[in-house]
Amino acid sequence: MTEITIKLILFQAAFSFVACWGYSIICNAPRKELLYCGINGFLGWFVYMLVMMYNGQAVTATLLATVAVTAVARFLSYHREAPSILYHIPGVLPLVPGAAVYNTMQAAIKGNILSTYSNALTGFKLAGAIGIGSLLILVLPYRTFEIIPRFGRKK
Amino acid sequence: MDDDTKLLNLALDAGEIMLMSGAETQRVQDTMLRILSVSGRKKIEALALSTMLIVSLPREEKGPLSMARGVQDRSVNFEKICAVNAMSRSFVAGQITLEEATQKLLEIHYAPSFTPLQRILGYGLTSGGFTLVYNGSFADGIAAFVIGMILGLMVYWNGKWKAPYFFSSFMGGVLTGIFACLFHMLIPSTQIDMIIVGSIMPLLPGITLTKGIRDLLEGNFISGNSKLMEALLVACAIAGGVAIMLSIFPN
Repeated sequence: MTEITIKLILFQAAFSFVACWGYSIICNAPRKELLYCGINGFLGWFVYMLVMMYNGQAVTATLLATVAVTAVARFLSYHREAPSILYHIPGVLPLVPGAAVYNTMQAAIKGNILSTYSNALTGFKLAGAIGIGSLLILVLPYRTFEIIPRFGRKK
Repeated sequence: MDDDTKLLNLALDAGEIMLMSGAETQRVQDTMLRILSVSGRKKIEALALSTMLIVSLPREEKGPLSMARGVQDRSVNFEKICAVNAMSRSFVAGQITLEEATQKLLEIHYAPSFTPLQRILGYGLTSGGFTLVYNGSFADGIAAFVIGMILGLMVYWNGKWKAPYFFSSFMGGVLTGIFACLFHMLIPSTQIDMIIVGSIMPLLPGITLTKGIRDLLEGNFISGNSKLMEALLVACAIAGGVAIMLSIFPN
């Protein structure tokens, strides 16, 4: 694997922004919220790569990135008055274990049973990290996110 | 129809639109309960499973009223979730009447979304972007962009004749496999694995998986389990489609 530098992280996160922006179009997000969905996607990959740079543990990185993304999604949900799922899904999208699915299938074609199982388990571990990371923030009461006064949209 | 039946119908319609648009089970239940709470009765019940909705309203004078509805279509449409959410809040606050709310739900149901061309471009951006995110080169990114647009076209076409979701995923995997191998043959410097990992991103059941785990951890075991099963099936369909093509093409 290539060495991780801040420049590489920013480059990849910028494309994560583009990809999540595109994904929100597929998911038919309201036009005004597309930018925020993209920003959340940027943030998800940025945090993930920062943690990867420090300890190289994909599960920890996924967990922390999910926590960050979910917290920001709930903040945005309060400030923009929209359901939090709108910002949450594009944010965690880069963390979804797509590579694990591919590796599992590749190992299965080659007939390497051991590698198949280990890759499938990696995928489940990452998926579990996403679930637990989002729940850690989702169980917090709604009022936690009201500490900063509302900005933007006027009532 | 008396007002109670109308209210139940409104709750069911709202729940149906939300469930069809891919909202979480908890949110669907909350919205239906919020709408039903306008009746001012106690012990109202609203239950959402992954494919069905049940609401009931106990009435001492005329006997209890309960309705159920099955929900078949499933897609993702955040705009409708937002709109129904806003509608239910303003209905509970008393800003709109029952008739207006019913009318508004109809409008939401038939609201225009992004045009097919925009959505296809969205698929392309997602595929191409994720290939670059996962360390692919620019040539890989462009190849994945093209494959993503093809996938978007396929999904659009499948939505037109209402293909089963399993078939759609499988076809997506097959198309990704074919075109990734073709691109690799045309331009040998591209990496097949990078192109495929990026291209299948818009098809992968990331939403279903995340929502399934969330449902499980929140205690909605039935919908959580069925969503996980759906995610597993879709992932297997995509992987199977890609695997068949990868084993046919020599590489």
